[in-house]
Amino acid sequence: MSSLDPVIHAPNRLKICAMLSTSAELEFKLIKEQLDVSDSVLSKHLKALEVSTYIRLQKRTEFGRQKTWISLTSNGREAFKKHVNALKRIVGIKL
Amino acid sequence: MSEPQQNISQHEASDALKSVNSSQQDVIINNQAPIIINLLAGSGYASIVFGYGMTEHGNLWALAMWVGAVVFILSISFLFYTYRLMGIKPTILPRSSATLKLQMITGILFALLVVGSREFRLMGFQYAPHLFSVTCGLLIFIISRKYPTGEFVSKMTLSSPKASSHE
Repeated sequence: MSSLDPVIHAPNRLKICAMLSTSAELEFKLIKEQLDVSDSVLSKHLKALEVSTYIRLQKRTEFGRQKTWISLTSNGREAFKKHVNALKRIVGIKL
Repeated sequence: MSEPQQNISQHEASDALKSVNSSQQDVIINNQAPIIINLLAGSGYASIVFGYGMTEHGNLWALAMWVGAVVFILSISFLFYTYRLMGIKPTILPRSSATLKLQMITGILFALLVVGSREFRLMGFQYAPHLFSVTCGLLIFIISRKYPTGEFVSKMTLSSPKASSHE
């Protein structure tokens, strides 16, 4: 039986993973606006996820501006799926 | 890092699932491209299907097919460009089994509708290209609005737990 992931379980990190699961990559600014947090708070959460190899951060220059694109790694996708399944089991949703 | 919180209540788990669901829906709902691009993509694809279904040696419906292809490719390119400006890179290759299933079903369905629009007309059902092209156009429009990021995201329906019992 899979268990809850301590890295993903923090509310903001859970939201970050949920958002990232919808697309190939999301930009830092978009996640920041959706979560309504400061740059430093978001960076802290992203660092925790990056250290666990759940996300990949890539800095790219587009139209003369540097942008940070974030994506879930296959590890992260798997961990997020397991975490959501563990939550569903607690709630009693059949998988 | 704190120890894994294995003993969370049903209520907390339900709230966490609701936040997952709302975060996913927010990305999709709050970041939609202008509807005109989706309409153009749908119309372009409908023209391809209609043109293919109606093409004969002596008519110009093949031109409609090519114009449709250009409109479809341009509108899809513009759709991707718009999402990139909004900070979203849509998924092209499926990353989950649900997305793979969705892409396979739609791929087979579109192939059948394209081939069917011509074959059914040749069998005597004259309105097959009309019917199948409208169906394809609507499908493209609905899919591009409902799954703009290319990933299959299902909406969870969660009822509040009756009691917040601890596991």
